[in-house]
Amino acid sequence: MNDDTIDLEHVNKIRDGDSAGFRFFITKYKDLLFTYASTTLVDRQLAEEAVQDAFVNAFRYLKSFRGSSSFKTWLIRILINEANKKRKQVERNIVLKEKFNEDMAINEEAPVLSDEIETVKYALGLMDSDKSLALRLFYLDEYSIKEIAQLTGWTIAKTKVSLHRAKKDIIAIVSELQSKTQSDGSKR
Amino acid sequence: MDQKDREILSLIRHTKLKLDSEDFEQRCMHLIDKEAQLDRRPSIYYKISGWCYLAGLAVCVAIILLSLTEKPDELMRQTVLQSFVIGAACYLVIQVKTHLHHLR
Repeated sequence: MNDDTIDLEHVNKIRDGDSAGFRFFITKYKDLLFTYASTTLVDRQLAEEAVQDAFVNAFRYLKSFRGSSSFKTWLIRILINEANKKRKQVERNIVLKEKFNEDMAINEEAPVLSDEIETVKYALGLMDSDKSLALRLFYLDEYSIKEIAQLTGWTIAKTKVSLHRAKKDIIAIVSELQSKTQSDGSKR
Repeated sequence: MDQKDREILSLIRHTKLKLDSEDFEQRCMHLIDKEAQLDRRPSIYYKISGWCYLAGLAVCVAIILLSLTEKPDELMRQTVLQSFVIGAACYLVIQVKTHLHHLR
């Protein structure tokens, strides 16, 4: 039985009145939703709130879930909407500009990163949130361009452009971080 | 794009974060329980008011049947009006109560 079928079974049980069964989805998807929320929202607490609001809204509107997409995709769409609502309340781009120079040079205060995955995570945090989100949707959950456009509300053209630029940016940032780490290591 | 670039991009698959707040699931389920309670109340009110409405209609139909010989037009008008008023009153009560519950 695949994931989607299991999710649908739980959805039907909840619709029949087993509201406690919703905990299954919280346990299963909280980390994934938190990852996507953190892509859009720098502040951890805001990201947690977005995830919480997404789960509550998903429960509230469960009757409107028709099954045309998987439950996971539907939930991610709700989360992206919630995160965008919160983002409009917060001046994230101001924080981004302080962290990220225009020519993508890494400043002297960049942390020492223990491994390649940490480096990539850090690099994702430095990027523009739309590009970072496009990358995560494409690589974490392997959504197609068309699916990413549906999830985010972007046009297909914007999705393609964002993804293309995001790939170039992250390669540049990671390469720079790695060369900085190597040069810091050789100085010691 | 060379092999090294592809390796960097493939690492994104491993960048899932962890939401490790201890009471996150508790907080969520608490909110969801409240939502579930809100869902149950309007349906009970709809059921009660539905029965009241049907009872009101049944009384009106009984009056019509028992008094067919006495001024049937006026009686019809009165009973239709009474049915409508009962139904509208029930509907308004439900709407106000549902709205108040959602505000809470």
